[in-house]
Amino acid sequence: MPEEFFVPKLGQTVEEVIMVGWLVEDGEKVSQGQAVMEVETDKAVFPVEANAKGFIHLGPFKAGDVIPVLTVVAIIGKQDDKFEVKGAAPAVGEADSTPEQKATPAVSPEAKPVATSESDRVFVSPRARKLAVESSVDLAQVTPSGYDGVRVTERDVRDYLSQLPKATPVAQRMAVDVGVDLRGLEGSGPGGRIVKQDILRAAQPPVSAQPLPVADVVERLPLKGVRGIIAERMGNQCAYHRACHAYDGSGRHRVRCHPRAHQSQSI
Amino acid sequence: MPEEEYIIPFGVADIKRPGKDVTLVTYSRMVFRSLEAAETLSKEGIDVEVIDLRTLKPLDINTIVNSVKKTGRLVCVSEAYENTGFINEVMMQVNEQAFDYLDAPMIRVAAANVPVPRAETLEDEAIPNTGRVMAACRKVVS
Repeated sequence: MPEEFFVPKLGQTVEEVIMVGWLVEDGEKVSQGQAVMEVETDKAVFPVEANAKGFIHLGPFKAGDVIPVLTVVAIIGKQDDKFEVKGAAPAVGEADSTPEQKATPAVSPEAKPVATSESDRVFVSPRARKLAVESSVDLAQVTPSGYDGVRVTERDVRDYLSQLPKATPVAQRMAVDVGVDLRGLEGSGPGGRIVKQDILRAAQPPVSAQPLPVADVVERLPLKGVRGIIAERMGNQCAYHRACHAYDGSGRHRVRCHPRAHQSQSI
Repeated sequence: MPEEEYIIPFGVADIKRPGKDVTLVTYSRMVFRSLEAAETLSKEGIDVEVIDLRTLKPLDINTIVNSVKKTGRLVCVSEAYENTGFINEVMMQVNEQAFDYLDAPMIRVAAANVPVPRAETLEDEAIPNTGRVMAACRKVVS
């Protein structure tokens, strides 16, 4: 029976590691405690030791792959064993994962959409629904509080309405029709009231000043470890990355561009 | 028993205690437990309106529906069995006439579907007690 060799959880908050490389060849004989691979966490590079002795058969992982912890990456057993993962396959976060990894189904694809649509469903009490229809409130915007946050009650709709900026009834109805969030608008009517024109203006697609100039990406550097975390947190909190450096959307790469294209390559 | 007139108007429910948060519909002996529960709950800030049906046929559904339209929440308390009690009919009629006014699922507090036990502790659990009534009211306003 071959032993499964997996990426250990190298710390309390470590959810995934970046593969640095294998220290052994596929099919090589290893002894227990021998370092066979190197992984990088947010903080440091760690060697990972073999958990058994025998012949190691490596999985389809290579340097640079982002691997969730506790993923089986190799097996250690007899010389003629083959690497295969039983049960859940590794979900490799890297875009350039190998075809073999893509072929292994992580979860049955049908199960997921059903689950999400179930959790997305908004439960609304009949009374709250009636009020929402009367006052043209989009129920998806209302935070439910009834039954420990499961169901939208009348009180939630009233709270939501009281938070909304003042708007004329026509503007309210239009906002729901065209899907504009009133909270982000500034009213131009009397007393700051949101009027029809404000909705119309908001409903128009934002005028893009000029198309982004095509810049030559010189080099893509993955942001690893602490730098990756800093980039991610900054991206979450502010638009700092626009002004300072250029990152791609995932927050995992820094894109080095020509200086003239500096500002436009942010996303 | 004080000597006085005990005639009641036929088919007219009695609002024993006005309230604005929960409508509690009950009749017979459970009126007293419900009033006790309502009194305790008022200290928690839950204002329960207790309606004594007094007569089941004719049923004064208008009083109940008007109260539900006001509070949006209904708790029915009955000493009869849960699966066969008349209180289910009351809830059905509310469902038919005031569904859009309900802000939470209606809840019933009725006798457990077992022969009433002789042991006192079990009997107290089988027949609705004040605690169960209060728990139901808290649940509908949660």
